[in-house]
Amino acid sequence: MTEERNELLALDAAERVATFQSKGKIYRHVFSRLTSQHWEKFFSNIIVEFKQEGGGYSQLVDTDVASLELYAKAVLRVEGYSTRDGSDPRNLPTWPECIPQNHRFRAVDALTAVSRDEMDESLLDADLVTVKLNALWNESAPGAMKEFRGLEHRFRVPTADHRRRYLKGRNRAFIAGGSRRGLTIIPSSHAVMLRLYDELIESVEGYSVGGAPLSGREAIAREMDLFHKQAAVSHLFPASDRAQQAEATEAA
Amino acid sequence: MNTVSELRGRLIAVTSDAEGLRQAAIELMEESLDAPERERIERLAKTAANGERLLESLPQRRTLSPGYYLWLASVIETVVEPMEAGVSFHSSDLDADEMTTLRAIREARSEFRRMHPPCKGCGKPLADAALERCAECDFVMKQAGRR
Repeated sequence: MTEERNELLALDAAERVATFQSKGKIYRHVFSRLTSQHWEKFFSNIIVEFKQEGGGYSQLVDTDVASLELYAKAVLRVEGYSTRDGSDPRNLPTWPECIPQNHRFRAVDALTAVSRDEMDESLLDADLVTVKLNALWNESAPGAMKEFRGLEHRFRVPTADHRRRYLKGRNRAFIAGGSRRGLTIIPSSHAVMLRLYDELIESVEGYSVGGAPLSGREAIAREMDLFHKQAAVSHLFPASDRAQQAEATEAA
Repeated sequence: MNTVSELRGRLIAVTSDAEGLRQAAIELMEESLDAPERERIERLAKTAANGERLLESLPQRRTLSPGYYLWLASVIETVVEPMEAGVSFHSSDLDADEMTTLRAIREARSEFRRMHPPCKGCGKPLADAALERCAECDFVMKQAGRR
């Protein structure tokens, strides 16, 4: 992983590469640009479950189905693998399931490696809220992902109604198992999160489309990677004391 | 693993399960009655050799799946507390699930007040409906009677 200081993250690159090294070999997984449809399907396959354990609860976020399906839908080709007859792995009848499952997970992990950047919280904005992200995106040196740091998303200050919609989306639970004591399942709230992003975003920094910095609310809503939208919105609404208390009780 | 849509036929939607929400709301209120004792035991557990056993002795009020408490917490934070602080909501601001939840909370409060009427001295909910005063007010009353 190498850090890119001044390069803009090109959202419109035709291909995305996830690369990693394992046992001295370099593997590359080349994907098409990940579209809204890819990500929406991915998010809708993510389910958060709460399981009872002893006197408390543990939270499990299951992304396996979502990751394998995203991989199958978006992978174009792979490098670093060989077949017995020397043909392209894409010609195998089991493509892309012929790729070891743990490698498919590692590749999708690289596509979804987005985290919050440590910010200088002493800097105050009068009418905007800034969320900074760090993300891996494409290959830098062979076998190493590029790391983009401090990708800025500047939002209008959310209202109480925005927060209400966010929490409603996050906590709309279902109980499986035929009783009220069954397993709590919370489906992805991505649809709400993405709408909030598009409504609240004002500007971004660190991204490009067509070789130029990405700007303009409509262009940002259209071009921004949905995974980055979801990550930014999830950091826009900090957990309240009440929510933290509820989760702490469940984790106890 | 099953997706939500595959399971849908067998799922309970928390947000429209009025009876489950009412029960969960009562349990949260019961839990708040335990808060002083809970804090005392948690403080003790930090330094006690048998800290884990002490924590296990805490009363478990929650009997339902956690989804009920998570949903209630979000409606209490975003609707009930603002309403109690004077923010007015038009009926069109709230969806059917929020209205169901508000009714469930109102019914739970009413039932909780029946089970735990206020102390005639200080107004705090009593642990037992058969009592008239809490232990502190009872002590004060008895002290005053002796003088």
